[in-house]
Amino acid sequence: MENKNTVVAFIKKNISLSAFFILFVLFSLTTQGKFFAVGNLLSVLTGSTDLLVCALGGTFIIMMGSIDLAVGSMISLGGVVVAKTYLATGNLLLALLATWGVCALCYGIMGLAHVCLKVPTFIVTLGMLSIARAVVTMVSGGSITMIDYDGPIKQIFGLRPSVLIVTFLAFLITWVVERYVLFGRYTRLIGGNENVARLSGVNVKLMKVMVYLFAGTTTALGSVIMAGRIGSGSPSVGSGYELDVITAVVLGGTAQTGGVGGVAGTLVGVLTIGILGNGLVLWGMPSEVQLFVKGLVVILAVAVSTERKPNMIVK
Amino acid sequence: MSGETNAVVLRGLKKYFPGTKALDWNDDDVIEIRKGEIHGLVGENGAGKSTTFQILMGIYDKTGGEMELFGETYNPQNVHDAEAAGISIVMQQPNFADNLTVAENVFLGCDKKFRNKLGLIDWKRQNQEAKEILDRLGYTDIEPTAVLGTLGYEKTKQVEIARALSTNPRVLLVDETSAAISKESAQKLYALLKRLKGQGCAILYISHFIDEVYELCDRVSILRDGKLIAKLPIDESVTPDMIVKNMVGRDMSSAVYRSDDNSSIGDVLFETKGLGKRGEFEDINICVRKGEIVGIAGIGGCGSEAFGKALFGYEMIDAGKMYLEGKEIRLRSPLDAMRLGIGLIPKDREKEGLFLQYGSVINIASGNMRRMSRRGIVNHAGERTMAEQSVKQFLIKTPSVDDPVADMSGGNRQKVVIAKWIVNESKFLIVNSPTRGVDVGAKYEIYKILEDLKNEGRGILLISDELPELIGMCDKVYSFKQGKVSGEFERMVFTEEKIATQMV
Repeated sequence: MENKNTVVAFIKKNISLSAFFILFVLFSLTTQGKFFAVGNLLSVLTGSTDLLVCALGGTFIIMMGSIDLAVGSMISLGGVVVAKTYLATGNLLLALLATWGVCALCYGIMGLAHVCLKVPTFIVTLGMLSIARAVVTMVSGGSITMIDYDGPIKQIFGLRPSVLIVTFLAFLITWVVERYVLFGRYTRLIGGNENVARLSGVNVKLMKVMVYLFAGTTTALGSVIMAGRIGSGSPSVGSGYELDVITAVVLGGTAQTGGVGGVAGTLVGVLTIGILGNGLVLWGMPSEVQLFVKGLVVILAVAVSTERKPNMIVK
Repeated sequence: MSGETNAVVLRGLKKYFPGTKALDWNDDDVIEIRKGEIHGLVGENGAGKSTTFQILMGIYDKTGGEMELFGETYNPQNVHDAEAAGISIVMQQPNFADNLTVAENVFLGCDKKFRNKLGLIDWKRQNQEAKEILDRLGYTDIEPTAVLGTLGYEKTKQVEIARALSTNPRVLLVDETSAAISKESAQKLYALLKRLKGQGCAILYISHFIDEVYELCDRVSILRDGKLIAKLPIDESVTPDMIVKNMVGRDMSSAVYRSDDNSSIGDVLFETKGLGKRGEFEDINICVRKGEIVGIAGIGGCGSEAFGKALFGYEMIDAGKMYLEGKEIRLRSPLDAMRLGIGLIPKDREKEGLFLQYGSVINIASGNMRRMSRRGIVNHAGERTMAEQSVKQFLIKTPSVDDPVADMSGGNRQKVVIAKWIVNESKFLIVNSPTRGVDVGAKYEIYKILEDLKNEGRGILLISDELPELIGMCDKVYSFKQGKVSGEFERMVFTEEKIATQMV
């Protein structure tokens, strides 16, 4: 009995990890080896790289108790910028810098608008969702900019193993920042209780803008990876992507109210979504079923893992 | 005793939670609360007082024991059952909808009463009835249409009382209400309770203040660690020490605050000249020396809380100057204040002092991140050691330094907040109501800590509305009244009466 309880407690506490293993075993057993093959698993990994990178910054934002709805439009904008700049200059570094600059600018504006104008992040980022989509459509004239298969964007950011290495490094750095750097601690404290953080000497306004700039950086990298993977800078990519990011982060155990969670969980969340999509495809399910199941999984995961307190008098 | 004179009979109550026994009376332990009686319920934090209330209100299901209400077996399944049976509660921390009006909050959950023929809510009638209740209680300055969140703490509390009485209860439970309000409102509350008692209402009253028990209660039941320890009548045969002794299970003189030793006092540490903030306080001149505890006495709403926050850069001043060690300082944020060595232990510990979901390590480190890091890298081992030392030094009761402070009792939470500001070596500490909602044992430990800090040569500004505490602890007391300093008293000269006359 005692034993059973600890198992249940472990599953509740690590719902994403448990879901990941259950799905992994399930798909391994039911796809005649198509799922559990090195090539397939590697392609799942590669397919998850852009989402993971974007969700790294997203984790910080959600951990801080804020939200980012603009990430979908932003990866589209970033992708078009990197593709166009590289096409025009042939200089990879310049193209990357331009992408980073545009993303940092947009995220900086969101952070400042939130902090200085005191607009909730939900609204600020909702606004940027439209603005960035409008800008990318204007900049691109509505058409995609192709990326040369032999060029460095595709070779470094679009193909494995290099994209896996880049993503892993991004994850590692973010994990270290979250755990060991003051910036990570301050982010968590703000999410824990903004008022108390301020009274503990945290420069809350500065930190909030910094977190948005940080998310701008991961989104810039995510957009380059996305462009590399699909082979173009596209003004139509990334629609609904913000929901994928939020799903991955929340599935990974970061509380939507902030303060709790981290990027290690987000990694598991991203991989869970990755194998879920892949497994369903191997089962021959159409894409609408994938969407359906993904929605179901995130609701169930949070339903099972959230600890509910009885309606008690707080003393 | 016949069943007719007893309003409530509690017998052998037990409530077990996984791992702890919140209530664990012997089977033959009985508390009888008579009609027209104010019955005190006292005990340290964790003694089971609130759990008893929650069982009576149907919020918790009891594990064992029996309850009778007016001679009949009573087993409420939820709050509605309890209210229908005539029981009502004034909670320690009311759960209000801040965005709704006073009237809506008073009748929260019983809006059905105000449905008109169309099935819509008759707002006019609701407001009118709320007004009648508020007026009857003497809270004439509260408008039923005011949005609750815009009211101060005191008035919110009064609305809570109005809500409890809106159901015309035959049994009223009051959970440690006076700890949060000023002396003046407390007196009003006492008068009200005595009136209800005269009308035959049975009142069960949780208190941390022994004086209050004497002023108010007819009898008192004492709980400790979930057990019923003693039942005493309040008369000449029972001394306050007897009650305290039963509560804490050890001898403790209730008069010990600190010694009169003043040798620690040194040079001037902190001064304000003509400090003002519109609508809160004006023209405040105070002076705190090193090794000195300076008190600010005032009832709720006198501006002392805002003043304390202003000295920490959490509220902006719009007139006057502040000096630390002779140098003028300007504070734009708490961070500025901390860099100068100023600390604030805020009044609202849960909302301003603690990250409830985190453990002692993160909480204590949170005010000390500059020291607990090198070149931006957090010193994990250092902050853990610091927390472990603090837990030992301040006798904080917690299973481990990682357990969330939300699981701690009020006294231990307060000690965590104090630890946070002491380890960062603030030389000037602003301490607001450090013993609010703290049990007797922890109270004296906190006083001891303050005395130690004084002897180390730190300056302390103690803001409180508990006069015995100020008189017991301070070298000097300023009284605040309507945002102004109304009096200044030196130790050895001040008495409770002298200061009180300047407060109200």
